[in-house]
Amino acid sequence: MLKEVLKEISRIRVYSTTSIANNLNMDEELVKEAIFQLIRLGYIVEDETRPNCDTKCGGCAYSSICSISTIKTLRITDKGKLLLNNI
Amino acid sequence: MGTIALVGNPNSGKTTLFNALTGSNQHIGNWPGVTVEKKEGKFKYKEVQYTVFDLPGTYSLGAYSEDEIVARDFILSGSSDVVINVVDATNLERNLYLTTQLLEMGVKVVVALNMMDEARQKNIEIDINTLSKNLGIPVIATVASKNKGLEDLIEKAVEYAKSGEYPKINISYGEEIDREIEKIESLLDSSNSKYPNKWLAVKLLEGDEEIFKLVEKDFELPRDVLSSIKEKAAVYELEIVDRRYAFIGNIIGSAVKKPIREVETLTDKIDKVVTHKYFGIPIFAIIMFVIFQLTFAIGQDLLGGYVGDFVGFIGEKVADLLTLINSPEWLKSFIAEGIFGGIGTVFEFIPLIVVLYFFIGILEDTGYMARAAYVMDGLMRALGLHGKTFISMIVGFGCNVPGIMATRTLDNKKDRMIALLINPFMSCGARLPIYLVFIAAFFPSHGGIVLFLLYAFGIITALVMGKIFSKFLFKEESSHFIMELPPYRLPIFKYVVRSMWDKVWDFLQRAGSIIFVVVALLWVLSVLPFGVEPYSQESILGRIGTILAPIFKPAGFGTWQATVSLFAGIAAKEAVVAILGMVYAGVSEGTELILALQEVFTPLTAVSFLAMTLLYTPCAAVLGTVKRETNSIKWTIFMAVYTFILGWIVAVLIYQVGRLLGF
Repeated sequence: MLKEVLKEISRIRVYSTTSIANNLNMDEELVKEAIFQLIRLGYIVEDETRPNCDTKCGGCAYSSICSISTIKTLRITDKGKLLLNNI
Repeated sequence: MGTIALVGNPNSGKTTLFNALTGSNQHIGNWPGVTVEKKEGKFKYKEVQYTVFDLPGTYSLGAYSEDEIVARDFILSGSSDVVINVVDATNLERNLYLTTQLLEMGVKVVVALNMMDEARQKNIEIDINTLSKNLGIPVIATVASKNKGLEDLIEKAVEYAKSGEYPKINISYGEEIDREIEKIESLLDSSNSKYPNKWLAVKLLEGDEEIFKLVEKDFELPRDVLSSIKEKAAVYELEIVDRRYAFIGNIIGSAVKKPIREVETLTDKIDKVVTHKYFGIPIFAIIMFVIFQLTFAIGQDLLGGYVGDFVGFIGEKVADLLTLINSPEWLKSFIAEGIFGGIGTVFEFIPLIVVLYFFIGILEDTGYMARAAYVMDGLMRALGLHGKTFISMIVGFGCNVPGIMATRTLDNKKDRMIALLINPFMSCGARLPIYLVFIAAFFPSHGGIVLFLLYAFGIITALVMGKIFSKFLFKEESSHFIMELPPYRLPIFKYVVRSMWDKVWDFLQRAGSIIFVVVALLWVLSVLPFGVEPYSQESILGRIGTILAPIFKPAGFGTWQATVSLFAGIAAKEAVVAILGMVYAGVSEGTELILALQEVFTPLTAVSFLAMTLLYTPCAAVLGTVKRETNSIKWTIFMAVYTFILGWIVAVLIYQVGRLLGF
């Protein structure tokens, strides 16, 4: 299951757990689990692009007027790439 | 007296159960040697006192965090008579992963199937008897938040603890791994460890570093044997996790019924349109255009006038008061022209800014921004840029400082440097008052279009510069990433409005302070030396501006007032409008800034000035961030200089070409 999800992640450009579940004919909860475990075990890294306005913005008056949404991205690590090469 | 350990995933309701069992009879401390909180409580059941340990919330019992290690060490130490595993009934796949590991440890476990009310609400049907039979341990339904099922749970836990029964479930990891487990078990002398040998073998094949250290210390296994196990662990680690999920799948399969999921959700249907290969970018442009139009329709027509009138009213009253108390002329001048002429001008545009960010907030809250980043991704890649660059650009629309910070998620230097260098072309909130005052003066009936074009121009410039940098400055390969498209959701208006209010308050506090400092400093320069006409060309400010003004002559706005406002903008962009307000209030007292601008700018020079303010040197806060992020003075100076030159070239081109075309 984890290998299939990792392979799917390496193949696609955008994802939703629904789309991966549909493509792999898996339960969506299991896809969420697989991504969670792949992150936990260091095969992929999740980046959250959310502005951190707690950081010193040098007194920028608009530091709080920034994006409120979080855009999540996944990146396959070297450990993940190594595994993919061996699958 | 007995001892019970509570273990479960974070947010499974474990602490609620702990509180429900122990009430106020609790003691909080730390686990020895670590900073993990230790919660211990007592309760009485059938005249017997029980001690309960609320172990740290954890998803697994590996060695990936202190929480995991503390929980597993406590369980394996045999300090508890029974372990109550609190399981969130709405998320069995995740929660039972921990349960499988408890079963592997061979300890007495009772499952508290918690949040059963929420599971029912989600139409998840769980056959508790079948689940209990499949797991081979007692399972009790509970709703800890409502004290439901707790009596049964304790009764079963006490009964199970006293019984001679132990979990008998055996998870198979496949023939090959099972053989390896047996082999390792045979190498371990059980008299040397307090842990079950099979569990140790599985953990070794999962590559658990803590267990490797323990085995090396307690069992004196030869190093080559350990190295060989480590090599195998690299291959088996995922397989073992996979097998556990397969085991969970089998257990759930016959015990749980979930509502059938739609194959194509509403999110999928919307995404088919908004992320379409050809229509995606035009749809994004239309959405932004509509937002800008609405901003002017609501912000200017409904709100703008009132705030402007209010600022004017307060200004008049303060001036009257100062006259009444015979305050010195310089103070009256500072308050009336410096504060209300300068800072007040910026405040008049707050309604428009608030309305714009209210709409952008709604757009973000729906989850659309991830789609915008995705549709732009194709274009970014075509230009040799990393798709994530656009994510940092979206963040930059609020403020370039967090926009630049957001480039941290780009893992290769080329992608990060390009994203960082082009981020200031995103029109941040501080530039908005400049756009708005010029739009009000020269393009009042086309506000939405002009604002849209300015934002679009910033994006196009960023893409062009990114392409140039990618071709000539940085030549590494971009890394691959994938972006999550979260399900759409309706924005929660309460939060959007509250967040909007926070922003207004923050703006009032912080913009006021920055502009105040800049305005106060430049006001002093504009009235000195004594004896000259304040705000005149003879003032220190006027003289400095006059020396620098020729730089902007080819761009059509080579006045000392425009020049000093642009240079003040390097301290903080909102100072541009404040300084224009102050110096023009001095030139023609009583005339509003908009009227003053109409006298000294033409529509063509206004466009050229707007292009300059969009592109030229970012503010000091951004330059400071670039210095921190690149740790390089060279790149900071490069950022300051290249943007200034680019802004100047574009402004000159607009003015000169415009003149040739007869504007």
